[in-house]
Amino acid sequence: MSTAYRAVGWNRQKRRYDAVAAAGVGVYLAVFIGGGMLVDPQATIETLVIRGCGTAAILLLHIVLAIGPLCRLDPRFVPLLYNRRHLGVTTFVLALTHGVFALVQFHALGDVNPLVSLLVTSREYASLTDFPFQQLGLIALAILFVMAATSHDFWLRALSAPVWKSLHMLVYVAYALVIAHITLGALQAERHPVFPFVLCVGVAGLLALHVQAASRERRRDVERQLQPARVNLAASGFVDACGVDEIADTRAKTVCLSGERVAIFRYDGRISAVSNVCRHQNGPLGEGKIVGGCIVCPWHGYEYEPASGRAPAPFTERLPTFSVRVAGGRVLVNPTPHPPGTYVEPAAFVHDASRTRLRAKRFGEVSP
Amino acid sequence: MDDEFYIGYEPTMPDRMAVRVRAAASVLVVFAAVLSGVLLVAQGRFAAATFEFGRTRTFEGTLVEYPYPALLVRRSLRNSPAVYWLVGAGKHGASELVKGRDGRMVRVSGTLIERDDDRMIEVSSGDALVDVSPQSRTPIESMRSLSSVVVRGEIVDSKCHLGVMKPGEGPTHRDCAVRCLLGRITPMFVPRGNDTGMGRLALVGADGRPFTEPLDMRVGRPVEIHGELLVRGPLRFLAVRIINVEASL
Repeated sequence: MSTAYRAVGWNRQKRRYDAVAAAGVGVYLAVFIGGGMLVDPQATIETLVIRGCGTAAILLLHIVLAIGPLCRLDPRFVPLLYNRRHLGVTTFVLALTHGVFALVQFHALGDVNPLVSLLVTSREYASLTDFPFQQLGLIALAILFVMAATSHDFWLRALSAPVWKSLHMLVYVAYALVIAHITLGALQAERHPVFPFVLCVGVAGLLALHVQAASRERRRDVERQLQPARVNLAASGFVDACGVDEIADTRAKTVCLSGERVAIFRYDGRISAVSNVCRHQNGPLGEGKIVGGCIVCPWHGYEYEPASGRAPAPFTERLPTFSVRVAGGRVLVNPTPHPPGTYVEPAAFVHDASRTRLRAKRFGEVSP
Repeated sequence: MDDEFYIGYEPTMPDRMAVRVRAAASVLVVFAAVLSGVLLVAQGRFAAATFEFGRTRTFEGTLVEYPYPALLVRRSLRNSPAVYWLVGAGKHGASELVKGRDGRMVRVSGTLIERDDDRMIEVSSGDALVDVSPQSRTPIESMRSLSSVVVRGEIVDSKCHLGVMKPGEGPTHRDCAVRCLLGRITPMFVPRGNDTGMGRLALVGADGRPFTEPLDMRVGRPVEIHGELLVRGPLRFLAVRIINVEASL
């Protein structure tokens, strides 16, 4: 989505993003494979390719999985999120290269078909030390393939956002399989302690990020929950959400109403409230901005008209909207959402310049 | 108030954000290089072994069919002949190629595989094996026992271990080794240390015949073998009575 309401294809920033990703992968493989041939003249190129592509894929998978929680913890990481799917596809390509080389190396030219060999040669499922770790890698690769193949937004529309999102949450299953694949395979052969150390740091780091991000979200939800003392039912079920001055112009404040996150936007002397959840990939709309008259999601730029919650034509996404009023400088919101795409007259307010200057003076902000 | 907001499809990024993103990207690329170098240095050294892929040499010597295909190449009258195990293409042995030719003087064209003092020739087809003197046979001495031994080490497939694959042993290579042994490539025992003083040994059954027990459960794992050292001319074998798999984790 773009502010000009056109489908976005390749652009300068995407090319730069991909160039940096390619540079990172290229540097990694050049050091591992090229350096490997130089450091050890007895090294074989096929083994270095298998190991180089495999370890590069794991590193990239950690980066891909870290981006989500990092963005929740610090919005400065959001620029990494936009093209994250490109990193995911690159991870699959590296994993596929690793898998194909390993399949040919270890299973081809034998007495059975290589894929059959992969599935039947080792079958010690009851043993930890002799578990057929290569089959775990095969399943992980299959998951990554499905995710790479459905990474385009065409599939998001074709499958619907909830189904697509659920499918792509399988990345965590793939990650667990990859960790098991390495632990039961390569770590049994490589005895240097740096390998289990690096793996443990990666797993622990990802776990810590996810726990931290979840914990912070929960804390925020508690903070956003309206206090009973502030509930004002004088206006037919409306609740007191916040002060108008608590919302920066063209920005939003996110509150929790009846267990739902609601983004309250201020723009052009008006207030509108919509669901905080972007229909694309559940991005936090409340952290977005009004640009060109539309709410813009900070994750991928999906747009919605604030009064109706509808994406501008030709797009068809719709958000639930909430009735709002302004009284005495306070924003009142009806917690019951309207059906997605329902137009709700924005609540107008009169901007009190003196109160704004007083707030700016109190909090050291620069007054307009 | 700082109100930085940027979406990836916009042509330019706010300056402060661009500085941060460039710094983050640089850190990631440097980290990738460093991690790659660390893992490269930490991995085990590759074996000093050779597989002369794409290069064909010719060897002349006495063919041994039993228990496993080999060529005895005499380099000088004073020294005992050098042993070149024979193997087929891919994950296949050479038993069919040498059938009925035990003791014959032959010329073999193939690819050399070599590791330390052990050698092997990959023979791609029966045409690569030519009788030098079809009418004569050189008798090769019978198998004889040297001593009983208890040794620790690993069972491998000789072709991969001697140089075609690196590594050609260990748990990550296990599936390939199983496929090679099922293709009747000579099974070999690699001792840990030098218990026998004889280096790598071809594995045979307790009766000195080619090993027929399924080895998939014990390949690529540390094992202890109770057996007997056998020799047949310059060929060395370990006759297996008992194999115990040792714990590996």
